[in-house]
Amino acid sequence: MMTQVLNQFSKWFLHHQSFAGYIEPVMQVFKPAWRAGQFRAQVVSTAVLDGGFLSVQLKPSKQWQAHTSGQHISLTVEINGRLLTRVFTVASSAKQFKNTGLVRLLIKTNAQGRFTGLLSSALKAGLWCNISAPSGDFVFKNTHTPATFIAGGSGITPMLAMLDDYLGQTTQKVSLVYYAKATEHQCVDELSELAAQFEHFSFLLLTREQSSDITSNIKPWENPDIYCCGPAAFMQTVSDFAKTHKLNYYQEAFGLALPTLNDDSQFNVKINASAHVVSGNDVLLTQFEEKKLPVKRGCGIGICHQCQCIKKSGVVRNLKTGELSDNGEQLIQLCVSQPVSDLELQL
Amino acid sequence: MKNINYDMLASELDAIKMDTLGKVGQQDADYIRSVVRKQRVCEWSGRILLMLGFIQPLLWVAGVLLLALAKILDNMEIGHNVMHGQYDWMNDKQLNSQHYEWDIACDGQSWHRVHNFEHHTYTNIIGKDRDFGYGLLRLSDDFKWRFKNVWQFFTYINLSVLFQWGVSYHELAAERVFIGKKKENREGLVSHSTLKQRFFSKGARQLIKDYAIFPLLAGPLFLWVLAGNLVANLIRNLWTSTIIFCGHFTEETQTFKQEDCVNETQGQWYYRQVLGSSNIKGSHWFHVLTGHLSCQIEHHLFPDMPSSRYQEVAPQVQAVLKKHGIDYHTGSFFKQYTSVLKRIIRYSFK
Repeated sequence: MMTQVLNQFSKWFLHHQSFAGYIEPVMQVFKPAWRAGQFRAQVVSTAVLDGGFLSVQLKPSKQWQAHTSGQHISLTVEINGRLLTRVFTVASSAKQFKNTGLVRLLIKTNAQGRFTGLLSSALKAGLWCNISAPSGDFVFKNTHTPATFIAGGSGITPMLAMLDDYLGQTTQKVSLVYYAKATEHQCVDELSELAAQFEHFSFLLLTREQSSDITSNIKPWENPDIYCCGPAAFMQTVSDFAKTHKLNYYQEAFGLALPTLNDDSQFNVKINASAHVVSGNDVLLTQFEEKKLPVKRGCGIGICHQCQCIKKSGVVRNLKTGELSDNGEQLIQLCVSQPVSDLELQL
Repeated sequence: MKNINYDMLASELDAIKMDTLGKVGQQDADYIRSVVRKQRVCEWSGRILLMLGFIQPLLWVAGVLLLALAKILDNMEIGHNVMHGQYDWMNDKQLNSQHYEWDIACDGQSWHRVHNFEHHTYTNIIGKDRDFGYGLLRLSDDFKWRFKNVWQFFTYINLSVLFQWGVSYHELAAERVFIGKKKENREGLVSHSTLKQRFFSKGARQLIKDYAIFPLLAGPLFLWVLAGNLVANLIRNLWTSTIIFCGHFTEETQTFKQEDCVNETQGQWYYRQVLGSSNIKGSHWFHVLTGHLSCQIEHHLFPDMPSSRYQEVAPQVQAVLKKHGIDYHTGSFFKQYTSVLKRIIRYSFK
């Protein structure tokens, strides 16, 4: 009640969407990374793992509601003054959070990456970051049927959380087929422990070279539910297989492969809820105007910021600076932005 | 126009810009947040002190000054610069040009349209940039003399006193929302009804806040607070108006014709921005209080460069302009403001 009154007061008279937003910079003096509409989390420890993975243990603030294993959160980190946001699956179970108050992220880092490349310096033990409430519906659905988990690369993260939570709740056969590059399989110790503890669980560590048919380890005659997480083409193959064999299929999409820029390439753009196709040979503003989308044209040369909109995901090139944007959420000026990947925008 | 190598000018100024933008980072984010913090502290200590005037009137005076300071910081260093998009790179929801709203009668988005687009793109082009004289004052021979110009000095004083309302009404005047014939070649970006609605809604909220809500919250100290808010708004109006007039209306600043901006190159655009603006010299805190409009030339060259960098680039810009033999208008506050007053009076007459 009090909060609502304060928020309304802030909207009308203090010109901020929430009272928290109005006092944010002051609160940050006392509580680092305190932000309106976000939860705080403190980095407890980090570890660099094989294959360029970074394991991060976070302690979320008390207000944070536990996730359901398999769900993801967005992680916001301030790197050199910029708030950068990415979505990561929580790679630890709800049970572990209940016991320790910690969540673990397992992040595939890329030294050239705009975000992950800088993470190891921004996420040092003791530092603060922001996380969102958990979301996503890639969670364990049914304990009464057998299940086969198929993970590709960092697609293992939701599986780790789900297995830890649900193996104890089912007696059905559960198997995991985990594809990664040789020596890049993560958390093998944990998986071995689970396999020792639960007889109905088994796992296979594979590389694409060893076993190029990723569906060869699915046993359709056992009628398992299929859970799949990995690169787009990887999941498409498994999804097709499940459809053919009439198996229940659940997947989580993540990641984005950056294509090399080709002026004639076409990209899918999701604006609010509608889908459009744009080409790489012109700035977004002109193309949106041709499509009669509700865009604002200002100066058209990157000065006035009137055509600016929120990019939820995807990469654009700023023609004024020649720089590629991040893949995450940020403001872009449509009049000087050339699409470089599929995009999701909010107009 | 003088014989100037515009391409070279453009590439040298571009280099300063890219160099500086490359350095922008944590320091600039920390800077703007620290200004916001100071603004919050001034605002609330000011509002509390206003109520203590019955103990000791000097406390009230301090309250007025703090509240005026808070409004100046909000409008100038925070609002103006954030709404220019100077801090959008931070990806901070509280400090981005799409959502920021300021403590002034003018609706932020209306200002965003007229100021960022019209004024910054067509700076001092007569007939395009209505900021030149605000349609009220005759400040160059480009305008025909009219009888009303005789008392334009008093028009100017009135405008200064009511400056926030002048800014607020600016777009509506241009669009002829209430009075006058709609100009044929003017294509409004927003409908008249939206303009009116936003104008009244924002204006009313400001009036209610300063002259009803806060005075009422003070109970028996109603009048102390009401008067304090009135004076604080007045101080803010006079200060912002004065600084803004120094930015474009000193005697040295030039005007341009519409033909001048047809097929203009980047170098020519930079040239026009420089000649149409003038700076004020001062200390660091003076620059902050002006929202770095005291670095008007740098601001007009690089409107989306964070204000925290203008003091740093000013000497570099001045050196480049000097090399090309282009005037760099600057001077003390006293010199620049005297020059503005002279210009207003000079063009009162034929």
